[in-house]
Amino acid sequence: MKINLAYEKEIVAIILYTSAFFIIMSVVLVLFFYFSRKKIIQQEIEKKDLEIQYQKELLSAVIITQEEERKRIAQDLHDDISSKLNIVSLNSHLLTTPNLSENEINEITANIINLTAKALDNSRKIAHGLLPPVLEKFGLDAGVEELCLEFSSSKAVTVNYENRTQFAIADNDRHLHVFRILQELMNNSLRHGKAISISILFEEKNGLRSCHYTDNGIGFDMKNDTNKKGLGMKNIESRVAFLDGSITIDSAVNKGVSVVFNF
Amino acid sequence: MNQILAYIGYLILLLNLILFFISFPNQGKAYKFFVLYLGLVFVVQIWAEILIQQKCNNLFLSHFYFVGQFVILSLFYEKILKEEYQKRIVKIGFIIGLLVLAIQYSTDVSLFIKFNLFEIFLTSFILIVFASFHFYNLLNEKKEFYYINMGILMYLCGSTILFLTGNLAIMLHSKFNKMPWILNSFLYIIYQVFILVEWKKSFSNKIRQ
Repeated sequence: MKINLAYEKEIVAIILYTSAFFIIMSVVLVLFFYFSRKKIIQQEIEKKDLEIQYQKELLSAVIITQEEERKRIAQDLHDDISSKLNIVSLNSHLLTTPNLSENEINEITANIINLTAKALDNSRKIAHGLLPPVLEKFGLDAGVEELCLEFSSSKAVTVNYENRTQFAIADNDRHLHVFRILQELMNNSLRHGKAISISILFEEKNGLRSCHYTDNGIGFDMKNDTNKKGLGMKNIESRVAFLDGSITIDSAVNKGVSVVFNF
Repeated sequence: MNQILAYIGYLILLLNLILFFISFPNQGKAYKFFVLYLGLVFVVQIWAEILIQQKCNNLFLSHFYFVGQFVILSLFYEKILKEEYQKRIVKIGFIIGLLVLAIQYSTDVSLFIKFNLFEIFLTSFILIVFASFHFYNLLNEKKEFYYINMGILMYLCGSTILFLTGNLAIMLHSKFNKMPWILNSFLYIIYQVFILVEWKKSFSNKIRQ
């Protein structure tokens, strides 16, 4: 009986040890899995972070160079027009030469008046389109207001603009992007959407500024990818990304477009 | 001692069954299979307990338990595994496993009244393979049935040996023969706790919505 007991004890011990062995094996397996997963996820996150970092840098580079280019063009045009104005000035000096016939004087004056008017008009139009001076001097609110006036004055569209927040001039670098987004959206509404009414609203909730933009144009099909791949839309998206904001675009055929973005 | 541990295990099982049942709507098929599994296990446990009270042999229930577990968990893994080749392996393993068992039972019916070692080995082994597949998939994916899978893997690894020695343990008469079953009850509690943790982490917040 005693031998039998010792024997049984041995068997139970074997059973328990074998089972314990397998349990520990499974725990080791689970731990192995756990740490492998952690490592893999960590690496993936790092990879994604790098990608995002790279994309952001690329975006900002693109946007910055674009802005610089625009400024340069504005300057170039301005200089160009200035040189034309020089000719006008020369013409004016011609007027002071003695013994000019009535005809000659008339011709020169007409020339001067004509050239000045053209140069003035052109310079204003071009410089304005490239970098609205109002925006730089008086901030986003005034800039957008002027933009709306310009669009309204074309008689093709009525623009309702409402601002329920304040914009600091110090943030103008960021506001320029907002301005450009609106410019792009309005151009799109007019050109592609054939909209006759546009409304823009700025508001601030919990320190988060958002802009609501709607038009009553022909809209587009959200499911159609070609609309998303346009350079204009991409540009808007990069600008919103640059502002660390988010954008939601909602549209359907013949239902107009509604865009909300924050910055 | 064994009784208390076993009852604690049943209690958590019942709790899991109720909790998983509450979150039942709007869940995927895999989830529904898992609830079915919990239900089956619970019914088998209660049935076994009733037979013990009536001093009847309840060993034939082990076949319901192992085969039922095999069938439902195979379906469960078939649903949660992502890769096509894994799904195919699950289907093939499932069919071959059932086929082999059917042949075995048709040749030897007496297996029905004791622990069928081959059945235990085959069903557990195949399920461990499926669980490993799922772990492999989870390596770089969102956690899905993460804790349940951990629980299944650990419980199957530990308990399979205990069940395999079941026939032997019955022949032992000393006080030691309870030891494996105490260990099994203990493992079972851990298993159920893992399932409970899964419910807490993945499904409890869906009730409030």
